[in-house]
Parts: sequence; C-alpha cells; structure tokens
Amino acid sequence: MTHRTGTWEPTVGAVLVGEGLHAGYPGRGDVLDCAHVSVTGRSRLALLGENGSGKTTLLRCLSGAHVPDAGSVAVDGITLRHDNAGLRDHRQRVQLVLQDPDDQLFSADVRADVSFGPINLGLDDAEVRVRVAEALELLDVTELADRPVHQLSYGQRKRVAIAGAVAMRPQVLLLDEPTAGLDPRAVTTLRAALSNLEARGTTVVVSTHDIDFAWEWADEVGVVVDGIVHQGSTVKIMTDEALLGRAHLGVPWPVRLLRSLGHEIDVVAPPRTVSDVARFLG
Amino acid sequence: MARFALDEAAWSGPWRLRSTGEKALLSLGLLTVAATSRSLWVSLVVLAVAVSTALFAARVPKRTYALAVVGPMTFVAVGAIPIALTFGGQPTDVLASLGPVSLTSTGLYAAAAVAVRSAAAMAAMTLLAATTPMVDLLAGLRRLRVPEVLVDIAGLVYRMLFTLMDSVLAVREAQAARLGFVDGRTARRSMGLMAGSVLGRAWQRSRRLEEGLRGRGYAGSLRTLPRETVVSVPFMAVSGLIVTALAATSILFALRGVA
Repeated sequence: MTHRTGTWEPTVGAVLVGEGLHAGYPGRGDVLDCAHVSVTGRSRLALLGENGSGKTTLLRCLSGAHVPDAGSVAVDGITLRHDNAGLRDHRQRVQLVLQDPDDQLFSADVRADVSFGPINLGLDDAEVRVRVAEALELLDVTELADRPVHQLSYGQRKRVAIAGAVAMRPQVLLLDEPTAGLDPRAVTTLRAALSNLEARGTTVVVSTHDIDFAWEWADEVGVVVDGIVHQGSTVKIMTDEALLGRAHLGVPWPVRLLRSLGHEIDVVAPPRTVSDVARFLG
Repeated sequence: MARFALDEAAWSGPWRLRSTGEKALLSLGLLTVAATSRSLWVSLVVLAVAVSTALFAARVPKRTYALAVVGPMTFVAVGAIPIALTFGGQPTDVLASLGPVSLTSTGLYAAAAVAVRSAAAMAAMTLLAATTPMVDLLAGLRRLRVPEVLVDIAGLVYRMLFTLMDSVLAVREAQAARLGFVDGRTARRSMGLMAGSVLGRAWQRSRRLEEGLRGRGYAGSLRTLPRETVVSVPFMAVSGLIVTALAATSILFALRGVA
C-alpha cells in the first residue's frame, strides 16, 4: 500500500502531537492517510468530521489504543512506544474517554470505578482516595459516589466515565463525542465540568458533530476529511464553507446569520454566543 | 436502564451501609441452623426470624420480597409433594388415597419438615441478598481470598447484566413493534434473532470495555478501592446471640428426641 507523505511542523507549545498518521481497518482501507494534529497546551481543540471520517481513530491513535500503520505520536516530545512501559507512561499523560460510558464503566458503584486507574498507578489507598474525591468534585458527581452505576442517567454516567480518566491526572484529556446523546441541561453541566478541568491545567480535546458547540467552546478546530486533519483557529476553519462542505458539515449559526445579513465575521473577537450576536447587531 | 427489584432494595435499604460481615454472620448463621436442624419447630423459628428481620428491621419492600421468594417457594412446594405421597404398600396412617397413591400422616409431616427447612434456608439467604449489594458481596469474597479472577468475572457479569438487559428490552420492543411476536413461530424466530444480536453486542462491548480498561492501566486485575465500613458490635452481639440460641435449641431438641 502506498501512503501519502508530506512535511509538517507542529504548532509552538504543542504538548501532544500526531504526525503522519496512517491508520485503517480490514475491509475499510485507510481511515487516516498522513494525518497531522498538534494539541497546544491549555487550549481547547475540537475535532469535527462526519461519521466514519476518522475522528475516533485519530483519538485512539493519540491515546495509544490504536497502533497506527505509520506515523508517530509524541507527548511533551517523548515518542509513544507501544510496549507495556511506553503505554503505561503515555497513559499517565493522555487519557481517552470513549463515546459510550458503558464501554468504560465496569464496576458496580461509582467510587470503585473511579478508583481503578489510580490503583493501577500503584498509589497507596490514601492517595487513591484523594484522587477519587478530587475527580468526583471536578466533574460535580460527588453526591453519586456511593450510587450503583446502573442507576445513573446517561449524562451522569458520562461524567463518571470522565472522572475515571481525570483521576489519572492526565495532562491531556481526549473526549470522544462527549455531548452525544445529552440533553441541553446535561451539556451545560458537562461544559461546566470541562471548565473545572481546564482551570486545573488539563488540556481538553473533544471530537464532536456539534458545530455550534465547537464554535462556542473551542480555541482551535480540526476538521477530519479525506483522511487528513485541517487544523487552525476556530474562526479560520469554521468560516471556511468550502472545507466544511467537503466534510458534510454546516457553518455555525452565528456565522450563517451574520453572513445572511451581509456582515463580515470579526476574526479577532468573533460572536460566539446569543448575547455576542445581539451585542454585535446592536 | 434495566432494574432488578431485589438489587434495588439492597442498594436503597437502611442496611445498605452495614458491614457485609455483620449481615453475613446473621444470614449465614441462620442458614447453617436451618440446614442442620432436624427440628421442624426450630426451622419454623428460623423462618420467622429471617422473614421478619428482612421485612421489619431491614425494611425490604413486601412486594419485592414476595416476588423474590415466590420462585424458590414454588420449587420447594413442588419438590415436597412426592415426599408427602406414598406409592403402593400398605401404610397404616393413611389420611387419603387414590388408587395406589396414599397420603399418610408420616409422609405429610416429612414433607412439611423438608419444606419448612428449605424455606427457612432460602429466607436466610434472601435476607443477605436483599440487604447487601453485589459490590459489597464481591468485596467480601475478595477479603476472604477467593481467587481474584473469579471475583473479577462475577463483577463484570453483574455490570454487563444491566447493559445487556437494556439491549434485550430495546430489541424486544423494536421486534414487538414490527409484529415480531404475533404468533408462536414468529416469536421463536424473533427470540433467536434477539439472542444472536445481544450476544454479538456483548462480544463487541466486552472488547470496547477491555480497551477502556487498558487505557486506565488494566494489567489483569480489576482491583478497586475497598469500601470503608464500621462493624457494629451490638449488631454482631445480637446476631450471634440469636444464632447461638437457635443452634443450642436445635442440639437440645436432637438430644431429647423432640421433633
């Protein structure tokens, strides 16, 4: 098989870099074909793309769950090795939360599930308890600590699954479709939880179909299309109708609205929310 | 999400936070007495203690309790019928007969003794099951040094039971909406398709679960933080007293030949 190649430089201040990633599955061919992505520390990156575009595969490659056919992943300049020691080291820095929380939650009650990762780090019970309490608080699920997992709502299970990853105190947290299947209230709660994580210094990357969420939340956006990632500032990428069209995505509603009214989008301070748009329109 | 009434009672009952050891002492103590006693009266007392403790002290909802015991009790009742009946021969204490089949007072007493003993043992186990969530039982097994792999498998099966039940309910609803249970032949076909679908999902889910666990450092053991519970000395003392008194009475009755 021939692979697409090319030169590329990660952004300055990148903590997690995927370079020249080729990955695929039997019967589907290459999903990623020389994809480059760089995650800048303490910035918010949203990965957009249609179903099957390779967003999840990209996150799995970055987390070490999927071994790419070619290319490399590095965190803080340390290249990921897919042996036990290399993966162990990488997973202390990078954590992936899967889309379906039931794929991640194995224990009968919340506290036990969240404690699983810290125990595997070899921490003593006292330190594990501190980490569990901290993760539950950051995700605002402390009151659920002693509840059985199967009695939680979908949104609660999502937050508990994230808490399980957060308890590992990763530098970078990768979230696969964190808002999928959530009602607006649960999305608001989740966003507050993500803000808590960012305030503590965790860099968050999300994959999503929700272009309005990405427009409001992200500092940077990567659109996964034709096996590669088109990455740039949120305004630059999400006002590029041609690129979004190729990915079968629409433009965010403020962009659509303001353009239909004949306005240009302010690239320095783009209107992201309803109140921003109202202020802009005066 | 799917719910199981007995499991829910265990999670939400007032004995939820009692240590597993306390509840196991009472429940397994009563079970031992019920299983070893030859006295019908002692078995009756064990049955009364186990049922009243579950319903009034542990406040297990009566309907939940009734639904939990109806299956085993039916099994006990069906099993006791052949014991009560005598086939052929010339028994002297016949209460009623039909052809070669007789109901004798000796047979009836033996059937009642077996049924009451079985019911008492079952009630003792139900007391533990209705007051102790699975997670606590598994933690208890771990403390008792049961091989970790067995405890891990039991824990995963328990967790996956709920997600698979959700799948079963969803598939069944979808099939029913498309007349998948309209007659016996269609229902059998739908059940077969559902089994195949759910088993496939279970396989996929277990693979994704393993990936999720590996991401959090899984290396062959599913060890998690043990729950901290305080053992209540008064509870242990009262439980020990009840079990000891019943065991002593049972031994005394056996020595004096009291049935």
